[in-house]
Amino acid sequence: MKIQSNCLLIFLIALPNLIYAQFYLGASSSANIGVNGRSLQEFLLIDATVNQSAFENTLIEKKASFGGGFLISPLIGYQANKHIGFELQVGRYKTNTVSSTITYNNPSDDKVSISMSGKVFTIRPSIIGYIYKSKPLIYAKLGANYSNCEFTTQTSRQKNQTQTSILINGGQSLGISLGIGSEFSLTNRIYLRTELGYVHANYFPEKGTFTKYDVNGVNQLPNMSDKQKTIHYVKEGNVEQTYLGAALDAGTHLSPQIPISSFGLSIALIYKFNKRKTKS
Amino acid sequence: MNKIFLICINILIASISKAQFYMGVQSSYNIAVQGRTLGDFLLIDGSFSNTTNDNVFKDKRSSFGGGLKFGAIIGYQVNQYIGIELNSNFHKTNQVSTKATEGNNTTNMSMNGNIISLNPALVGYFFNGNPKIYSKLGIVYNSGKFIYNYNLKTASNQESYSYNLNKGSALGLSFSFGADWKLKQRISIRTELCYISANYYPKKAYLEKYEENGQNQMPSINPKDFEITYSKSGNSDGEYYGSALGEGTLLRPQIPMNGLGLNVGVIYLFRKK
Repeated sequence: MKIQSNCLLIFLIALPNLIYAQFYLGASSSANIGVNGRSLQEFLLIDATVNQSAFENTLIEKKASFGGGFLISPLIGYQANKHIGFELQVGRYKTNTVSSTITYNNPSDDKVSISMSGKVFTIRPSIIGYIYKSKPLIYAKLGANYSNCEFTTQTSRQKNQTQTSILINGGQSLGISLGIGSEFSLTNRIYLRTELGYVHANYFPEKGTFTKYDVNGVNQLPNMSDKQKTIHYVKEGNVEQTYLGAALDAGTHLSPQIPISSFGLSIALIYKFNKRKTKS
Repeated sequence: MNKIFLICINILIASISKAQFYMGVQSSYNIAVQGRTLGDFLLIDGSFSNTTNDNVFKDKRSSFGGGLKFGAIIGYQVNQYIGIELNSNFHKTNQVSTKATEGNNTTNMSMNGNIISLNPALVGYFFNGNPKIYSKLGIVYNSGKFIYNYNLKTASNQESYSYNLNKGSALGLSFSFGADWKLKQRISIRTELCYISANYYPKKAYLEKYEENGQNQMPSINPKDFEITYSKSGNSDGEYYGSALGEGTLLRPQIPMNGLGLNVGVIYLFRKK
């Protein structure tokens, strides 16, 4: 009896709030730039000139983040009342590419070009707070950002025409997403949304696999053992690296951090379903 | 023209009818989040064997966004929808400690910081009753120093040194969600969840202490030999890319300062316009 009366009380409190309750769905596209990057020296993503005999190494900082790219995603949301709502956004994007060149001179001249890019699948559940409830509707969003990533690093060495490609995958990324935006009504049910969004996230891969290793145009992969072709990124273990922070040699390494933080502008079209109504 | 001007004035007066200055003090407890293994500072748990080349490392994700903060708040609620606020804080960061062993030798390393931060923010109000519920989006500027300690104990020897990393800054983003609970007409208690994303880039590091078996070795050292300059680009003396503790010029390292914290504050509200 007590439980029933409590349920009734909660229902009566929720009822006035549900006058504003509304489901919606839509499609969003956003252009993002990578932010909060750092020099990914463990992936050799650094511009440098190395003079091996004079020990003069000229390095140039290159802040790399892979949050940039063009994201198209469907979204589904529920405005619970005039104060808060919930939303889920799912999407996939091809990241920006970060490229670098290391020039070696003295005693022998050589040049290594490195590039890295990825594909990211992302899920963003968010809670929305509505700041201004009229036209346009202004809101702020706070959410989690779960990403599943796959990166490719390609190196091309002038000497011996050596080319390698490593596929880096496994593992995942859990970050935070923030947004502030506004909704303009186009018709009774269709709305145009503009939003500024920030995502802070880092990807920790589990595995790297050589998918290409050519020397002077000859494929070397058939001569390599599985052990020579595979990199294991671990949280803890027996690590075979020559210095802390190496991430591209075969063997076992500590899991590197790949920044995928982004800042972007998104535009979306939203379709709002019928509002729930109470009997008056 | 005059009519438009009058309409603008009327809209402005209507909108600032809720305008209000406020100031207060706050303190927060923060936990460090979203760190990474700072191998460039040797902040890593490990055991080494030079004979068998067996090196066992443990991932230690370090961020210095944790710790206690104390500060002051000044703000202005422009109307019922938005406001602006400035927070200034003193932040004593969490400490990250690691241990590496090699046979009977043990090395302990630790790092922590003392930071002054400025945090201007835009406030959006969701609910203007009691409690007043809001969210904040702002910029964080951090300035201060980090202290790095290294202590090596062997069977017959003990060596310890400290570096002071400073003259750098961090620029980041802050996002908060909170509630102001009115106690009296002019006094409110604030509770706030705050997330900060920032990275500190030092410009210099100086050797502050160098002892062997308790004996100060600093007088016998040329200070220039133990000064590190961190640069964005230039002739770097690093033995390998990513070292941050050898003397000379090195590429500047990134020190994560991401944190998630709970703020409690007391706010004094001035008379409304």
